[in-house]
Amino acid sequence: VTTLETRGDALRQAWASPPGLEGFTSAVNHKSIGKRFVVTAFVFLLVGGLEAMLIRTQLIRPENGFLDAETYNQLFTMHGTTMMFLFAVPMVEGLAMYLVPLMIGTRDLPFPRLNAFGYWCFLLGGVLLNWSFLTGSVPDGGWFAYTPLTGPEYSPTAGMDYWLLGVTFVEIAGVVGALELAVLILRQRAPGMSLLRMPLFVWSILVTSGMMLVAFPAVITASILLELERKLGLPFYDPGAGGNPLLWQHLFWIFGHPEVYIMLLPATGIVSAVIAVHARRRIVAYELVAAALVAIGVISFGLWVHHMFAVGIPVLAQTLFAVASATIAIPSGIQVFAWLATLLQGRPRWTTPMLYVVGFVVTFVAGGITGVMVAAAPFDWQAHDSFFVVAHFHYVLIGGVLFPIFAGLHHWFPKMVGRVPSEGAGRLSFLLVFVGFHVAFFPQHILGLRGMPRRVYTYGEAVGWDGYNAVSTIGSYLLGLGVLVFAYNLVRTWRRGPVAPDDPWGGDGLEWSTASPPEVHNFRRLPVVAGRAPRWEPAPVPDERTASAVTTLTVPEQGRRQQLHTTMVAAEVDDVFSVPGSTPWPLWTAVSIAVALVGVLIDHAFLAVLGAVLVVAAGLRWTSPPGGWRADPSTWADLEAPASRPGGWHGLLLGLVAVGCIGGSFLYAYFYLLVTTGGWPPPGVGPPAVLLPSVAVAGVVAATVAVGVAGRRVEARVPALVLAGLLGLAALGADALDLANLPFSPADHGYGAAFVTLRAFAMVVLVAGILVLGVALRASLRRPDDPWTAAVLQITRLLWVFVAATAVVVWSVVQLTPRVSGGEGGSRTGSVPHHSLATGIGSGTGGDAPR
Amino acid sequence: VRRLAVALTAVLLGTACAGEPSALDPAGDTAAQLADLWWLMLAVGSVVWALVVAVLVRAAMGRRDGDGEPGDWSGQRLVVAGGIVLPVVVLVPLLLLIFRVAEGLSHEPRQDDVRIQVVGEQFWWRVAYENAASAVDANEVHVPVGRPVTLELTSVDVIHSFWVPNVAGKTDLIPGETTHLRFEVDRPGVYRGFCAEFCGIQHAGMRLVLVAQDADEFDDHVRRLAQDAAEPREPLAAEGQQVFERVGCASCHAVRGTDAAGAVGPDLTHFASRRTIGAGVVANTRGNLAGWVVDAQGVKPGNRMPPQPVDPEDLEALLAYLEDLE
Repeated sequence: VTTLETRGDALRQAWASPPGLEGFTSAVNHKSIGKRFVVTAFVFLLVGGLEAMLIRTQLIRPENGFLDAETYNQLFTMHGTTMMFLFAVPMVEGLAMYLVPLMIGTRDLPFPRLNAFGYWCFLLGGVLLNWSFLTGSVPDGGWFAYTPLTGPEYSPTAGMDYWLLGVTFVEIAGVVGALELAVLILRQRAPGMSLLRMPLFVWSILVTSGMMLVAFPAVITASILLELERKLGLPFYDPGAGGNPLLWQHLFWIFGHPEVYIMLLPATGIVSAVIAVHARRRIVAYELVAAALVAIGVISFGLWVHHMFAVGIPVLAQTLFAVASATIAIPSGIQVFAWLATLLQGRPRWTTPMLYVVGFVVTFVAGGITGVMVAAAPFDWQAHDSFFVVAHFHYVLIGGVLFPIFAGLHHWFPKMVGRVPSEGAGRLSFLLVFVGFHVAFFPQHILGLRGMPRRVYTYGEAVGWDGYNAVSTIGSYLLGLGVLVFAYNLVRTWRRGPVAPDDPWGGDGLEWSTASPPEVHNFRRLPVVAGRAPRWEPAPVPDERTASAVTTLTVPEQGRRQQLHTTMVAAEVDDVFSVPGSTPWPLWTAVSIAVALVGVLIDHAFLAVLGAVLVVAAGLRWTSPPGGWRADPSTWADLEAPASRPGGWHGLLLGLVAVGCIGGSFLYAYFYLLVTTGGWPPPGVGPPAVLLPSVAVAGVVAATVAVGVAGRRVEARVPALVLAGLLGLAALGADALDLANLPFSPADHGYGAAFVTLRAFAMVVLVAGILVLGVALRASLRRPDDPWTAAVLQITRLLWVFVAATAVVVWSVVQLTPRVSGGEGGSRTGSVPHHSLATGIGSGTGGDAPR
Repeated sequence: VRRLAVALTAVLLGTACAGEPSALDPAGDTAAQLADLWWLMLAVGSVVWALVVAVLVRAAMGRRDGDGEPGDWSGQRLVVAGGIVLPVVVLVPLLLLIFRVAEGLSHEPRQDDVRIQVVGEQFWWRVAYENAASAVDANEVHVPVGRPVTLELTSVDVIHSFWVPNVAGKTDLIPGETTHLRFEVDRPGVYRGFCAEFCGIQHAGMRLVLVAQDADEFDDHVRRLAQDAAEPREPLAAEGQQVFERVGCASCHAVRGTDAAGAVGPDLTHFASRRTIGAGVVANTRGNLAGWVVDAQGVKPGNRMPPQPVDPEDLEALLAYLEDLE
C-alpha cells in the first residue's frame, strides 16, 4: 500500500498544475481546460438564450414596439452566432477534451499547450464578439452574413468586423481542438482498444474532428476574403468589379452544412453513451452505428447547395443535391433504430439523462423528417427562409443537440465534479424544456407555411400570424425557465450536492473506473482493455510487453508527464513519450492574436503589426524544448527512444490538412470568380510576369531539397539548414519584389484580388517554413544529438514538403490560367444584365443612382 | 365535437382565412403542386414518426430481462429494417416524384410567357412590364390569370428574395445576375408577398402585392401604366404639383409627363392606383399617405425617404395631387 501511495504522490506531483492565479493562467491539463470550455460555453448558452427571449418577446404580437428594427436584427444575428460558434461547438469540444482521455485510458491530450491555447482563443474570440454590445456597433447581418449586405458598402459600421474577426478567432480554437482530439484518439488509446472497440462517443468525436479540420477552413477563408474587401477594398464579392456575391454562399455553406453535423454527431455519441449505461445494455449493431457516423461525416460535405435552392441553380443540380441530402436519412435511421433496439432489449432506468434522450429521439426524428422535406427542392422554394426552416433547424439543434448535451452533462456531472445532481430538479427541467420547446417551435412550422419570412422584426395584423406567434413566445419562456432550472440544479450540486461514488450509474466505459472527480493523472495504472465495455467484462491479462509498459508508467521518470503511444488501428504498445507541463505561453500567444485583431478592427496598423510580431515571438518561446534552452541537458537529453513518427508529426500533418483546406478555399475562390466572370485576365490586364515568380518557386523547391538533406545526413545538417534558409529568404524576396511591381491593383478587379491573395497565401506559408527552419537550426546547433532535435527535423521536413507543394500549385495556377482561359475581356459583369433592366425602368439611372 | 375537431385541424394545419398569405391555399397550379407535395410528405413523414414513437413507447412499457448478446440477431434486424430498408422504401419514390415536380415547375422562361421585370432595392420593388417599355410600377405586380408568367429578377444592391406564398415558391434577386420565377395563377385575387432574404434594417417592411386579374383587365392596367400622368384636374391638385416640384419630391421620384424625373424612389406616375404605401407596409389611404410624406421614418424606420417638413396647406395640395395620379 505504501508503495502505491508513493507512486500516486509522484504521479500527482508530476501532473499537478501550480496553485492560484499562476495555475489558472498556465494550466494545460485536459480536465481543467475541458471544464473551462464547458462552463464558458454554458454561459454563452445563457447569453444566447436571453437574446432569444428578447426576440420572441418582440414577436409576441403584431406591430410590437418592444424592440426597434436595428436592435432586433442585431439580436437575431448574435443569437445564431452565439449558439453555433460560442455554445454548441465549444460545448461538445469541451466535453470531448474532458472525457475522451478518460474513455480511452490515457493521462492527457497529446499537445496540452495547444489545447490551452484553443481555450484562450475561444474565450477571447467570444469576448471580442460580445464586446460589440459595449461599442454599439453590433453585427447585424445574420449568422450566415450574406454578401453584399455584409460588405463595406451596405454594412459600413464595425459590427461586421467584430463578427468576422471574432468568429475566425473562435474557429482557430475549433481547428486546434479538432487536431488535438484526432491525434489523441488515433495514438493514445489504451492497449487493446482497437478502433472497433472504441466507445461510440469516441467514434463520433474522431469523425467530427476530421470534419472540423476540413470544414472550418472554408469559413475562415470566406471571412478573410470579406475582411480584405471591407478593409482594403479587394472586390471578391462585388459584382460591379469582377466579384460574385454567391462565392460567399458557396464557401459559407461548404462549411455551414458540415457544421450542423459537427454539432450533431457528438450529440449522437452522447446519446449512445447514455442509452447503453441507463438501459444497461450495449448498443445494438455497434459496427453499423460506427459506419453510420463515418458515412454522415462524408455525405455532409456534399449537401451545401441545398441551402441555395432559391438562388436560381439549374433544376438538375438542385435535384442531385436533394438526392444527396435525402441519403443522409439512412445513416441517421441506422442510429435511431440502433438506439430503439437497445432500449427494447435493455432494462431502461428513467433517469434525467434518459428522459432527455427520449425527448431527443422524439424531437430529432421530427426534425429529420422536416429536413427531408426542405431538402426536396420544390417544397424548399416555399419553405426556404421562412419560419418553417426556423422550426426545422431548432428541432434539429435543440432537440438533436441541446437535449443530448443536457443528458450528457447530467450523466457525467458526478464524474466531473464528484457530486450527484438532484433527480427531481433534473426531471422538472426536462418537463419544462421539452414542453416549452414544442410549444415554442411547433407553431413556427405553420407560420412558415402561412408565409412568415424569417428575420422580420414585425408583421402586420392582417396576415393572421398573431395567435401562433403568441403561443410560440409563451413556449419559449417555458423553455428558458427549464434551462434555468437545469443550470440551477448543476450549480447547487456543485456547491453542496451529495458526494458521488466513482461509478454512480454502473457504467461500461473506462471513465467510470477513475475517482470522482478523477485525479490529475486520471489513472494510477493505465488500463488495458479487451472489449467494448471494459467495466462489464472480466479484466484481461495483458501480455508481457504491455504489462511492463503500464507498470513503468506508474512511476513518472524524473517527474515528467509520460504517456503511452499505441498503434493507430490495433492499439498495441508503441512507445512512451512526454508532454510538456504548465505554461502561460499559450495564453500570451492568444493575447497577441487578440492584439493584432483589435488593431485590424480599429484600423490601427501599428497595433496590428505589433500583435503579429508578438504572435511570432510567443510562438518561438512556445516551441522551445522541454525545460527550456538553458535547462540541464540531463533532464531531457535521455528522452525515450523516439517513435518512428513523433506525435508532433501527426499533429502537424493534420494541421497542414486544415491549412491546405484554407489554400484550397483560396483556389476555389480564384476559379469560381474566373468561371463566373467568363475568363481572365480582365480587359487591359496582360498575363502575369514569369521571371521573378519562377525564380521564387525554384528557390522554394531547392530549399526543400536542402531541408531533406538536413534531415537525412546528420553531419550536413547545419550547412543544409542555413542553405535552405537563405534560399527561402531569396524566394520570399523575389515574390515580394514581383508583387510590389504588379501592373494592376488588387482593388480594381476580382482577378487582381484573387491573384494577390493566392500569392500572399503561398508567401505566408513560406514565412512559417522559414521560421521553423530557425527553430530547427537552433536545435541542431545547441543540442545536436538529442532525439528532440531529430523530431524537430522530421517535422520541419514535413512542413517544407507542404511549403514546396503550395508554391508549385500557386505558381502553376496563376501562370497557366490567364494564358489558357483566354480572357476574352469577358467580364460578364462588364455587361451586367441588371443595368439593361434598370435602364428599361424609369429614367434610366435607377441602377446607378447614388445612395 | 366534430366542429371542434375541424377547428382544431384548421389551427394545427394552419388553414388561412381569405386574404391571409398561405402556401397551402394555392391560387394556381404552380402553388397547388407544391402544396400537394407538402401534404404527401406530411402524411408519409407522420407515419414514419409515429412508427418510431410507437417503438419507443413499446420499449418504455415492456421490461425485458437479461443482457442480450452484442451480436443479437433480432436487434440487428430491427436496425437494418428501420435504418436502411425503411428510408430506401420511403425515399426512392419520393425522390422520383420530387424530380418530376421540379422539372415540371422549372423556372426556365418560355417563349409565350408574360414577362415582368422586378428589381429589388433596399427596401422596395421596382416593377416593369415587358410589353410596354414605360409601363413602370412599384411594389405591386399584376398578372393575368390562366397564362404562364415569368418574372425576370435582379437587384441593384443586396440580395433579396421574391415570395408570394399563395402563388409560387421564392427566387432570389441577386446583384449582377438575372434569375427567373415562372408560375401560373388561376384564381383572380390580391395576394400578399414578402422579401424572404434578409436585406437590411427594413427587411420586414419590404412587402408587395400581387394582383391576379382577367387578361383584359391586366392589359388595361399595363396600358394605363404606360401612359404619362394626366394634367391635374382640380386647382388644388395643380397647386400640389408645384409643391411636389418645390419641396424636392421630384429629386427622387418621377412623374412621367412632368419635369419630375428622379429615379431614386418609386415612379409615382400612377401612384393613386396602388394599393399600398411603403412597399406594402400600410394601405394607400389619405391618412397613411399624409403620415408617410411627413414622416416616412416613423412609419418604416430606416427606409431611404427623408422626412418632408411640409406646412399644412401645402400638404393638402400635395395629397390632392398624389391622389390625382391614377
